[in-house]
Amino acid sequence: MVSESSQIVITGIGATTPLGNSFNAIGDALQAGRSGVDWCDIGTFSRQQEHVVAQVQSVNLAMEKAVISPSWCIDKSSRLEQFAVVPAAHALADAGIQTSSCTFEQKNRIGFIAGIGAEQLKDWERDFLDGGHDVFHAKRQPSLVHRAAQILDLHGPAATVAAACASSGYAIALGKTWLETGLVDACVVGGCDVLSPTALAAFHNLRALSRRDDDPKKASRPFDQNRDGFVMGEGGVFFVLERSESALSRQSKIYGVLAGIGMSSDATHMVTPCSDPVQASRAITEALADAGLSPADVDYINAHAASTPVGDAAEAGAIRDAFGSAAMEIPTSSTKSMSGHLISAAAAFEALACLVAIQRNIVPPTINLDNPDEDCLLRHVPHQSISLPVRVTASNSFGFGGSNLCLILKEAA
Amino acid sequence: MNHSPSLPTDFSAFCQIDSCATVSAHLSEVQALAREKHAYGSYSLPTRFLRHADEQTVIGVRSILKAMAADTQGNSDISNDAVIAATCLAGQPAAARTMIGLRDKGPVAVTPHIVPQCSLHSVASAASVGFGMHGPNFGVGGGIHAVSEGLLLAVTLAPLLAITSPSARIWLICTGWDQQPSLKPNGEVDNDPLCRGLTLLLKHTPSHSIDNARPQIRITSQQDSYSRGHYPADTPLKELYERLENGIRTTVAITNSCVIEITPPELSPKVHNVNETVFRKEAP
Repeated sequence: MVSESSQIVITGIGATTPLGNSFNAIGDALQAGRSGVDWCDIGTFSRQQEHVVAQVQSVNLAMEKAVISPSWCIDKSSRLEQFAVVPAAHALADAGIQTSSCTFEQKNRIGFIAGIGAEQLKDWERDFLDGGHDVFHAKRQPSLVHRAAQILDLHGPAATVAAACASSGYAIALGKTWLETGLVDACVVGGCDVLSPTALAAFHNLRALSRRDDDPKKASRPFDQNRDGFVMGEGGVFFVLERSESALSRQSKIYGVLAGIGMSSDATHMVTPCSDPVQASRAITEALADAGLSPADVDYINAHAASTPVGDAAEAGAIRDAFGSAAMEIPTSSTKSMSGHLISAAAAFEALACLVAIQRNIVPPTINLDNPDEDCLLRHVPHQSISLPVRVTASNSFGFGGSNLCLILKEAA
Repeated sequence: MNHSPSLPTDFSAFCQIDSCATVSAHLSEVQALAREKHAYGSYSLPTRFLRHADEQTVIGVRSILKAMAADTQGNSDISNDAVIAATCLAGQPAAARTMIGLRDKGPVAVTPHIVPQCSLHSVASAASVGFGMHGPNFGVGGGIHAVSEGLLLAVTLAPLLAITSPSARIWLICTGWDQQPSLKPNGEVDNDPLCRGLTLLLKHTPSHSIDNARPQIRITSQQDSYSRGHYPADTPLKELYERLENGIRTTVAITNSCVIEITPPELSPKVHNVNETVFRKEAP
């Protein structure tokens, strides 16, 4: 175990999202309350099929080339691979880690954990849509995180984790445990996901998606009385985590401290969140305890709130349960109102939103929150961001299978 | 990258193995297994709980029940336990059927169960929901490194779990096919491969109280581990499964400076049927 005074800090950020491809661009969008949701044709087999989605418009390779193997060809890679490799490379470059100048031993101690919920399904689907047969005769091969580690010349331990919509949050949390146990000196953590015809159809048939097809930018409306489901998005968000003494010795920029993590399971249903908030609340309480903080210390809560009728109300109950009287004092918003739901990458995106809040001393809004649902009573931040000092944030993530996660991010001392 | 000289170069983390169980079944047998009653002691799954489940979930759940039977801690409370499921290429037959449906009949033919029941998190979630385990539950791997990823994440999660829920343990479930199912263009299965499930019940052990004679998993730093003849991180489940069944100590190289050492429990007589073997932990 490492020194108890050591903190786990974030020294690099990389993102490819519907709201932009850099910390500043995403921060500008969140601060302005800009939506990344629009119509998109996800048609397959010659069918026109327009969906309201949050799609990544471009993948920017500008500054990542220094840490990407020259043999990697973005044009031959899948969209999912691009959403893993490019932001992870960007995060490493942002943290000032150039593997070309690392010793072999140093590369052995840089870990990589990616939250990816359905990688094989997406790979098989891509191949099938191209006329291939991989899904009939599946090939045994390393998963994306191992291929990406090779592309980035990282030789440390690597793992894929999946907790449905909380996947990338679990990757971040488990990266903290790798650093705390001394397994690695730095860890690339985050997650990625892509829009997929199969997933869109499955969530649509589950009646989990918004059917507000007439006005895309109004479709994602967490906590609103008229919410009717989430808007699916895509993207990749990765961070570099290090112990504070390592970051300070390298004189790295520190975006924030990953101060606490909390994880629990509802253990009630494979899909539906539990109406009893006790387990979701427990994840929040454990994260605060891990950070050594109390509810009143929190300045901003980034809610998971995906805009589903059941989920948003359940989460509001969990926040009230965990934060007690402070729940009605702490500004709370759901950035999914702007970004859509990035599924496996959602928790990492929302951790990024918390770092934006800390760096800019703002609370991003929940846009489209015209009529707050009385079952979702909280101190909402509707429509427009507000300015206030933000030192400590809590970010909730929940997933199918009853997975609950809370990350506490705070400003660096 | 300029590391601080104060960073640890020696690393070790341990878990004791409280129980270990293996289960295997051919693809043609899985549907019948899914319909059986899944119960041990006071723990049982609701009727038809596995009706939409992936094959690896069915095998994984069976291996948990066997591990429950072999648990030397007896009727321990599992309500705060964690579940980690390391699966390899799960959900393939269901994915094929779903994509054929999407192609032939459109989005309306896509089952809503494909995401919750046939994804990487599904085995862990089914175990958590089915047996009422409220600790963290998540899936790991997906590809050929799944087992070593699961071992690594279980052992490194354990210290945190020991703080938040001191009595809680981790159910590490590893599942996979000896050969992947081969499917015809209409989605029908063309072979009858064996699906294996291995469950290890793990408990965090502080380094000062480790007894090297007891079944355990240990992660340690070891220089030049790739050149020492250890098993590679992508060793198939079949190989590790057979070594654990035979009580053979096994070392897996995770990186060139980190290894996982597995000291399995002593073999006990086979029980129930030839496909389901239960191991018992050595008496303390």
